[in-house]
Amino acid sequence: MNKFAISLLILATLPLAAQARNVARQDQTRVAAKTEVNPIAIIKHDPGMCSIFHRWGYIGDSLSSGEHEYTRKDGKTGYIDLYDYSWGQCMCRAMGVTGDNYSQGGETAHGWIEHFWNHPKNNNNNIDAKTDAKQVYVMALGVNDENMKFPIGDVDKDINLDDYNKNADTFAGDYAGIIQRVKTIQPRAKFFVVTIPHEEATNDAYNEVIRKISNKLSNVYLIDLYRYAPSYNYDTDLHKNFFVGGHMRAAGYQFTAWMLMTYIDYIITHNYQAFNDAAFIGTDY
Amino acid sequence: MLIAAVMPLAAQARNIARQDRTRVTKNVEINPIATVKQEPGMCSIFHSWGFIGDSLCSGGHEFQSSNHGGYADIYDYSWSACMCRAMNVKGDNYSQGGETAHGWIAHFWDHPQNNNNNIDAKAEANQVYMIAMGDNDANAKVTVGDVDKDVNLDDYTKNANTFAGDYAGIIQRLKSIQPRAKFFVVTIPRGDFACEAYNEVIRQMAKKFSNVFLIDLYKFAPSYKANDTMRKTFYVGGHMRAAGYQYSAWMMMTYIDYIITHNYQAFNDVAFIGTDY
Repeated sequence: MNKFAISLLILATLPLAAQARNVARQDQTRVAAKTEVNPIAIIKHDPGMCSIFHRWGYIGDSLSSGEHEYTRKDGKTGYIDLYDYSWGQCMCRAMGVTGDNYSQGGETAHGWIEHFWNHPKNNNNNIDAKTDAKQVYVMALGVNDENMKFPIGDVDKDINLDDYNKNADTFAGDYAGIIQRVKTIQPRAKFFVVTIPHEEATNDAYNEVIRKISNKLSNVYLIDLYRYAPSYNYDTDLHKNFFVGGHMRAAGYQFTAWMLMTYIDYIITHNYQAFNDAAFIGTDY
Repeated sequence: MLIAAVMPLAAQARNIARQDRTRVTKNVEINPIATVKQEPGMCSIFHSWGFIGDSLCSGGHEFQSSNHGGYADIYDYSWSACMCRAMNVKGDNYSQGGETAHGWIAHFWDHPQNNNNNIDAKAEANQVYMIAMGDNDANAKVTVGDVDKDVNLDDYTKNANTFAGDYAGIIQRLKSIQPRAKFFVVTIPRGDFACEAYNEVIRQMAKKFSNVFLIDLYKFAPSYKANDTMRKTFYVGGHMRAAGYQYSAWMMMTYIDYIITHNYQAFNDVAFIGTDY
């Protein structure tokens, strides 16, 4: 082979050699220093380890209540909570277990304390959250607080860990107050708190409260839909497939159930020790 | 030498750049059950199911005991019951061994008398119905008929007494008690007898009526012919065993999930079926 051809060959392979050297040196400046895992990167359709819990409570607003929009006879939009279609009941059917919806359309953290605890009066046959303690609660509140611009408050200042009656009347104080109240009837209950999913107008400050509460109170685990779920913005596939107006349809609530089950399964399977006592919740053991 | 080495690459790049479509299939047909999943997927949006059919819809088993043999509809082992268990929802079998489209109207609608405790299809409307009929009509060589001529859209009692007229009549009757019900109509799978004309009727139902969706097992399911794998694995005599009905349930759920997930808009009203909303 003449020198010219050899030179050409070397020239052609130089970029490849450089890349190989790069990989061989494990040049970490070229890759992310920290890889963040998305618990719902792949959404499964089975409950996984959610099934270790046999009695579920669902605390929330319309999006926890299977709410559907419909056209009334006068042509205006109506709203109906169809609990059987809620993601909570989808989860229960998947697991073959029981669950109660402590949720209704329009609910806020402040309102929940009144309508489901103090003086139960709500769309779900006035169900009383005090009467039948559950092993696990999923809390998905905040959308209406955000819409109404309820004061966000401060997790460090607004929560009285000794007496929830002294919590400030802010989103932070009331949200924590729900957990504190439920813990009085089920001290070992587990809580999964859900951030408001992403839309362009979502005020993440309410989600910061939810995130901080999961750090502040024991047995509380974060489901950060804002961070990991697809965007719910009006121009997304998720919105087009699953929403009519501002609320989902049956398929959307089913999809939400799959997301939440996948996420909860992820949490449990990455924290087995924390869930060792699941079978004892609500017993004297 | 270098040029010689890269020439194939250059040619391929040029090919792609020209988007030479003569080298690729123009029309790719997707088989909704190419991969059969074992979970209900979006079937779960329906909470109340009705299943209309014959022995293969009824968990029909052939048996031979010491002193007699025969056929038994074991509904709990039907693919429909398997589906309902998977979804943890309610379902009713309006089906029995030997049933035909014409017979169904008499035995489950007009004067309910059937193997499933004389269940009356008029008594409790379901949100969704699956219709898996035609085997016995094909075996008995019932007149196939014509979907365009034999169906009176205003009065089903005036439908012609043909497979087309009676099959449509079933849909029309159920729509009279549940106007917004969804229907999944199932073609007869490929087997050892001629059924294509009957399947054409079924396919046309999905075009003629609203809210009717086609599950084309003839086209997409494995063959059910005598020496083929499905038959050898899942059949005893002319009917399936429990495992076969379970597999059928998985196929149906996979197919229905495919239909829903590719037509979300068509299923937006599911929660309202049977309500005043």
